[in-house]
Amino acid sequence: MRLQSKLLIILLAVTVLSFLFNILISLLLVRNTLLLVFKEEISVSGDILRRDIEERGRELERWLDSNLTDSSSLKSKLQETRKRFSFWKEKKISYLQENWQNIPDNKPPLPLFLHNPLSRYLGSISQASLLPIKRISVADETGFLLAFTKKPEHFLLSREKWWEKAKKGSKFVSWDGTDMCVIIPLMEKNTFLGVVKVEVEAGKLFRTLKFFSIGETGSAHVFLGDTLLISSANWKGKGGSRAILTGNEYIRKKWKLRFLRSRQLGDWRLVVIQKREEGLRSYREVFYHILRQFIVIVIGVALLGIFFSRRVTLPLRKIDKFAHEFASGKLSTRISIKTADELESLAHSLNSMADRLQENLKTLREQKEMLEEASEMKSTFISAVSHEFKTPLTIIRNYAHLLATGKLGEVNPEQKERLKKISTHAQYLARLVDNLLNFSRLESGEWETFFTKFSLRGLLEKVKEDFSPFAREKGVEIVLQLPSRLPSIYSDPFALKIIMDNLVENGIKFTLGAGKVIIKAGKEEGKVKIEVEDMGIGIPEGEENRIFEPFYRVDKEEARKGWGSGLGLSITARLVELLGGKIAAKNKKEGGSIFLLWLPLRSGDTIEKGGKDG
Amino acid sequence: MAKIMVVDDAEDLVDSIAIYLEKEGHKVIKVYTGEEALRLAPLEAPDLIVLDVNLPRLDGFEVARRLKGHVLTAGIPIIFLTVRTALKDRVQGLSLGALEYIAKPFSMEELSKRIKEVLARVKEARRKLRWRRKR
Repeated sequence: MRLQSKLLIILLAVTVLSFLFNILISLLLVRNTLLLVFKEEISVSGDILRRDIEERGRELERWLDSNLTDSSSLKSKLQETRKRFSFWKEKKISYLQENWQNIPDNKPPLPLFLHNPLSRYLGSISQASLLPIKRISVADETGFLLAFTKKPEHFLLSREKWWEKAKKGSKFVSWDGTDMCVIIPLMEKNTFLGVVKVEVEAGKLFRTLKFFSIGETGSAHVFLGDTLLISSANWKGKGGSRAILTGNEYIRKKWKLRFLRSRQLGDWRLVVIQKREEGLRSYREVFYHILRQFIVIVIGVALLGIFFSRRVTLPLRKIDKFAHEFASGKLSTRISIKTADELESLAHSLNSMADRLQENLKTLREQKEMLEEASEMKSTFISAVSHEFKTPLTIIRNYAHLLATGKLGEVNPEQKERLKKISTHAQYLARLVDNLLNFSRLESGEWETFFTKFSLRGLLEKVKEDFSPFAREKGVEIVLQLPSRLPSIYSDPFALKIIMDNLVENGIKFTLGAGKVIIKAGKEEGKVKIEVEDMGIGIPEGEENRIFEPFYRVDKEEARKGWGSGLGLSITARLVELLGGKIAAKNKKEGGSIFLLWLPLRSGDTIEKGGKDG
Repeated sequence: MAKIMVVDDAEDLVDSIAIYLEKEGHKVIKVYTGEEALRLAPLEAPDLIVLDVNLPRLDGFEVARRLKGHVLTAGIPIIFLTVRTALKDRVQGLSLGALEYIAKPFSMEELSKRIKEVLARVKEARRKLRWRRKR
């Protein structure tokens, strides 16, 4: 994963987590606050309603006090009306009891009730009042109705349950369904004269409550006992009122009436409710607002994060690019970072490192070129010199030979011997030049191998033939011991010729006095094994491997008399390696040394039929 | 016995070879440059040319190529003398129709032996050719 992405993710994660935590806390706070506010609102509304109701109650009280309670005119009119009925009352009671319900207003004896002075007085009071008075009726001390503004159900107030209480002489309120009945006993010097009953429609009295509302679902209800007296209109639902009143948990949940306030007002109970959802509506708005904020902030943080993480990772990417380019060989590349921090100092260090590396590499390359040039010059020099040696050497040998063989006139034996020495030394020199050339070619890797199938027997015979004159001069005999069936070999004949030349030459050179150099060949474990045996001075103890190193020379008195470049065996070893073979040397018990050479047959070998001497 | 042209810019080498070969009974034409070899070869019509590779201006390979391209000299066998022993030089020499390739330094016996071999091979080839013509 890229560093930038990591930084970005960490930044975003931290932001989101802290913000979510913030949201949680603020939502909780908001919710609680909202609930508190809402409860307060309901409470306040309830208080206002209560005050209103109380005010209306006091208004009614005042009206009652000023018009009915202790009103002398009312009392006098009561007396007057009672006199009117006094002669008539006893006779008619039974009739009235039977027919009260059926007598219309305009038929006797009802006009007697409705049109007496008391009735007229009550009517005028009632009409002058702004209160929702349904009926005012007055009864005498027996409970018999004397006057009323509107015909009641029956004409004996003594039947009603509050009658005995009224005799005690103090004002009180009794309820008849949703109607509020104010009972005012009339007293004259502790004598019970009668009763005034004022019926007020409670619903109309508290009509302001009808218009009460909090939000959409908020409503208020007034109960008397368990009777709903009045309710603001927008509360609907079966069983709702009972739920409101009893506070039944199940119903409250069903109707989601979470916000409920009730308060006792004398005989009444005022209940204000509102649906929970509405109370939390603003809460939801707050939630969405916070959510919008959250999204905006996250996007903002992401953009900022991308910007800042780019600022952090851009130098790193530059450094990475630099390292890649430098590694792939573009040495002139450098970093340019201006961040004024650790990264810039790192870039500086890397740049100066690159400078030094580039310089060192340049120096190294120059030195390498110089060395290569020198090496090439050396090779060219050796090659040129060696080649130039060859023609004069041939000429020396030729003349020495011509003289020694007497082709240019008679020479005495002493001269002849010296001429032969000239010839021999020229031969040595020629071999030395050959070895130098071969060594130089092997060293510089210019040696080209040329693999072909050829007769091993033929090659060995050629070696013997080439070295026979030289061997004869030293009194050494070259002996070929070859089996009748010798495999032909797939290898480099030129290389093998040089190998064999060197081995045989060494054998002859280190044989002091008369002796034999024996060449054996044969097959062994799928390889060709060639042995070159001599009767010479042998190899110094423990130097069997060192003899194959370049410029190695046997440190023995006898050997120093001979000549040699010390290159022959090292060339041999290298060529054997080129041919995929192996070479070893050891001393024989009876004196002299033996060189062992193993060469691979390669594939496609055939068995050579017995040769001429086979 | 045979007429042999020896071409080499080293005059002493040509001289020593000539003495040896003349003692053996051959007739030797001494030539020191490639141009002269090209001029003399058609005139003298030698039985064999011993040709040095490293000649100034016109080298031995080029001389051989031109000789092989000339109708009068195309049949003359060539033995190369050279100081170069690298594989590619040998291959080039033999591909130009040379019959032998002798590396310097060589002994006179070796050269003499090779000359005899080449002459014998040529003689044998001519004999076969004649015999075939008769038939």
